[in-house]
Amino acid sequence: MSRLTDHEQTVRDGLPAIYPRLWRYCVSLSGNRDTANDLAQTALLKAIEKADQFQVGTHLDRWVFRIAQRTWLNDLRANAVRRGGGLVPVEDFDLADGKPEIETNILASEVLNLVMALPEAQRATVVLVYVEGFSYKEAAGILEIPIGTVMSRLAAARKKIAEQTSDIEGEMK
Amino acid sequence: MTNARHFTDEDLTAFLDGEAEDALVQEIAAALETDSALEARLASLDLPMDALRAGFDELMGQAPAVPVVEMAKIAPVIAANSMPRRWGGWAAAAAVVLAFGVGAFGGYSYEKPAKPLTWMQAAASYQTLYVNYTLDIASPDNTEAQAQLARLSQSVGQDLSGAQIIDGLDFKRAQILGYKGKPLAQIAYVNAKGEPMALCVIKISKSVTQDIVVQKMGGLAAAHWKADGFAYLLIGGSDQAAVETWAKVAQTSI
Repeated sequence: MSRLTDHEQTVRDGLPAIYPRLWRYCVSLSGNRDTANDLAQTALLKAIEKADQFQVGTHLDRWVFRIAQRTWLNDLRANAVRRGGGLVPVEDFDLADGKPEIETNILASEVLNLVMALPEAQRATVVLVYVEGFSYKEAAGILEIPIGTVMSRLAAARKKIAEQTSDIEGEMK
Repeated sequence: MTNARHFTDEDLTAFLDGEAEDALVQEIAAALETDSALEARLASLDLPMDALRAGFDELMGQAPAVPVVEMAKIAPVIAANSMPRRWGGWAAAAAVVLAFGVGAFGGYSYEKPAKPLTWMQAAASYQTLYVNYTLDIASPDNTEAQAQLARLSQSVGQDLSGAQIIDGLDFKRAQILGYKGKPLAQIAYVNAKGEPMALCVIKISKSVTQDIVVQKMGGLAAAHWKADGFAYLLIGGSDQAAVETWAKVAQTSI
């Protein structure tokens, strides 16, 4: 293993901590867990294969997310769409998992499902900016789109979710 | 409202996200002093951010661990010694996957195998990592395929040249992996459905003969047999009958 370059070592050391976030981002891209499993694994293997292209000192998470994004668009999306998954989320994301259904859990679960029901491009952008905390510029870099497109996706997503959450919150009062 | 400038939803979103430029922030803040409609528009873009993050954090807690691939532990050693460069990437990839399996996943559920994996379990585990895309590569021509198989035959100590042509399977590549320090041949194919398949061969200490046994391994259809001091495993896809048929062909052609 002493043959590893700095690039490879950095990628190998950093990937375990990133993997759960990568998987979550892959769920947001693909719309369901099964496809996300394939996508996250493929992105992981690609990241390891391409480790020599990673610039040490830059952000590994953004680099790996971009690989997942490209892998989804270039390789896996068409198959997922053909199988009927991918574009439309096919599962209900149940987070209760035996926990008491307190109001915050219910709202979190509802909001998650609302985000997952957004168009693919919007939900990936929402996850990058609002969940991952990337700036507009960073998200634009990962998605390889203009910042203006990030803004319009977020505005559209905000509008749609806000409409529906005000209904939910109203019901819970 | 006089001199009211129209702010787009994108402007207001950037304002809410702290991404608006200073001039825009000042304009919106000033307008909010007098414009109740603008306040309502901002409210119509409001997100329950805590709930949103809580939901996605819960989801992340359900992330799967990377599958454990025990045989990969030694793959890089063999890779470093004998593998052509272009095969090295996959062996190295498998090695890293192993490293993840062993305790790297602090907060996430991961069950350690109670016993060391057998070579077939390890091979099956590795195969479960393959997705249809993995072997989305051009098939080598006859000369290249035979060259790969010749190198593989030399490493594993068994003539595997007959494994190139199995009716119904498209030969993709032959590579050497390792299990507990022993070379493990892996010949990868794709079936007509595009599913990745692998024929794995390893030298065993006893010269026993065992006819083909068909079973599911790691959720994949598998057939294994032993002959002349070597153990064989053909694995992939879900069609048990097809795997048995291909195993019989491989059994006679190797």
